[in-house]
Amino acid sequence: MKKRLISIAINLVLILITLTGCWDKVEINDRLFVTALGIDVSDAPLTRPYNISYEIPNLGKWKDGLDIKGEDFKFIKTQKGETFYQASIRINSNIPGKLYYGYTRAAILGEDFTNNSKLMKQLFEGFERDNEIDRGMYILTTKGKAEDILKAQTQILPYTGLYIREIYKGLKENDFLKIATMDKVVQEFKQSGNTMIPLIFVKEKNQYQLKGAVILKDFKYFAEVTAEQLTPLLFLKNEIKNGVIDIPVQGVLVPFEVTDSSLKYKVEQNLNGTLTLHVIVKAEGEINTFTYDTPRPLMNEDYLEQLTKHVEKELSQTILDSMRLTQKQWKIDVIHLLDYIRKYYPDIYTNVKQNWNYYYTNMNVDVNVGVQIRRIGSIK
Amino acid sequence: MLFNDDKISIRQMQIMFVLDLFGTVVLTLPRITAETAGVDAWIAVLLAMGLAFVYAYIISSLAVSFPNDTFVGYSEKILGKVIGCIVSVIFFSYILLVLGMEVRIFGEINKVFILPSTPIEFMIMTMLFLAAYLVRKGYEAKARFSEFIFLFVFVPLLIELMFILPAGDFSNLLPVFHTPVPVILKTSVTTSLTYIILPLILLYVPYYNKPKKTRSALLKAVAVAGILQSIVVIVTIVKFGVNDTEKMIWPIISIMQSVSLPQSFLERQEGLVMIFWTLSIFSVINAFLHAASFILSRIFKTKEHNLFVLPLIPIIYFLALQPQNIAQVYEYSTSIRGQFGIGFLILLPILLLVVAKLRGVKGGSNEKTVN
Repeated sequence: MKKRLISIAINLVLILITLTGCWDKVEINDRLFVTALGIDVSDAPLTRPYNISYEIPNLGKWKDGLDIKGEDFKFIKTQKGETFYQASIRINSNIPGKLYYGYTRAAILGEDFTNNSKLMKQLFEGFERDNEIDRGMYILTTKGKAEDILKAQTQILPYTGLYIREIYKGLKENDFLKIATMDKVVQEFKQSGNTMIPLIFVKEKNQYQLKGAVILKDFKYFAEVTAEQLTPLLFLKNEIKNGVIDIPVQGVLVPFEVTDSSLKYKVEQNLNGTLTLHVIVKAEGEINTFTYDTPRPLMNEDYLEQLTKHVEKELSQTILDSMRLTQKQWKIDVIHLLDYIRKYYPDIYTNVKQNWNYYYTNMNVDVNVGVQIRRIGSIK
Repeated sequence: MLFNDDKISIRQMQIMFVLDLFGTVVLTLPRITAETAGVDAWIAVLLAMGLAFVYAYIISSLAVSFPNDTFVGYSEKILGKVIGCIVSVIFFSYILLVLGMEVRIFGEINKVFILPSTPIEFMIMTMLFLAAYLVRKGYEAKARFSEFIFLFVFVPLLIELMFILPAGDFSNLLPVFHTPVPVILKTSVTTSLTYIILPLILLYVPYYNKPKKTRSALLKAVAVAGILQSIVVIVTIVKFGVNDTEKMIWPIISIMQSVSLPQSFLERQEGLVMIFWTLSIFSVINAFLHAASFILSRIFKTKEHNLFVLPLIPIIYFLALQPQNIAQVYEYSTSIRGQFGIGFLILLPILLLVVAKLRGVKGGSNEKTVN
């Protein structure tokens, strides 16, 4: 009996020790969920170059809908640090609770920051090494300070990180937005040395606007892509399949809506060593707005044929212009053609990888567009 | 003894081997193959499976020719008492070293991904005590445990992988067959050494209810594990590309971090995956711990292996804490595989088979009991 009692006592003590001694217990209300990060260069670039802003929703006032009033629905905390990691440690000692990055949806890089390749490299290295940060986190940049983007008091869904996520989630076929996630950005840097990340602005009346993009080369700001340049580029990169092409007819612009498309590359190496890129596009779509001043009704097959030719010409010109922009003006392989050649033309790859920039800028481009106008709406 | 006398079915043995073959390598396999074989890593994994068929064939030939005896018994019969005993001791220390590294990897991953402030020593101790409990219940209990967790390990994993594929880029697998053949072959040889659990079958044949079917069952288990491994490698490369895969220490966990189930409330699944993976690594640790104590009991000719389980724990604990950092963990486990692997997977079984033939030693069916 005594033996039994002793064994029960020992077991109880052991259970108490092993089951309650949890070193990693964090109560959910001690946790501060960071929804977005703003990353800038601080005013002390030699000692603590990072200026990190954290967007922390005020969970007491949390509402996932439209009706948010007052100004304390989110906190923006800013902290300088030697690295991103050290800034986190510093800020943790200044605020009650522990910052948690598992649900961080977006990181916004300030303009100064994208100009500093050393800091950029270190930041992405740290992001990759950190196992709390989601690899699918969106990366954006802005003109000016990233901190100001987080601080904007927008009316609909004021949490920057969630706002961006909702925009991307509800992305319609005709919204031409560049989406850059952290793992994609890092992969593209490693494979091709350049990547593109979208620009975010705060419009008047405190509203966010995603417009255009920025090309980063070797972890550094390289060029800005305007919204007009971005659409054909995304189409060339196979990131969007649909779009609207405006064709001038009788003095007005008629939108041709591409509902489905496919884009293929074919690469040939010529006898003199230069490359020829064939871009083969097949697009089909519909015309939803035309004009009363039409010479012939759209139902006429010949006229439709004529219009189709017109669309094909416009489309191939747009693509050619876009290619010329990357080849002659930027002189940078934004469409990641080298990676494509590595995958599909390994023999050509071995010939051209050494001197790729020369081959890319001197490449002949041949665009072959096939368009089908399938539907014209409900009137002739 | 109540537990030890029970036989297990061939199906249970297959399940155990699939689980343990998969569990030992799955975490690092995409990286170690992509590092050398690049985009053709999955081909190397399939070739490694082919090599593993050879190992499994030879090992099971040896095991089946002595259906009523274990490794310790017949190695003494074949090589003589002294040398046989030495070989058994080497086998024992090999198992112990592998076990130490597996336990350490378990601790490292928990430390990094789930419990950053918990001391690694504590995690290792609790894991070892838990494994010791199951080992003391005998081989049959382990078989039933494996049968029970089998679906819990593989079904969630395969579902997760299915959700990853749409977000991946299959062109990451291109160009196919462009890695030089010697490189692929070399990778497949090193990869085949990860089938370190195969020699354990030398110990357990008398426990199977149909020892004659051991060989075909083992070959099937190797096939299933090999195919699962190559699926994991393919999915990882499809998702991350070779450049990223070869940089990740634990690619399979990074993959789980980057995927979220559509429309789901749960956004980060690595915690979930860790549960299933913990089950499989527990099964592996358990298999090696059982084998280690079992060899000791046969060397010392005791009836039970239970005696040896608890005394082994401090030794394993000590071994597990030897590497000073994660780089050493990786280096040690690679070198253990390299030093001992080829010996136990192929050389020793062939040697024993040849010497047995030359000396005319045969596994008699006279002995009815295993001891």
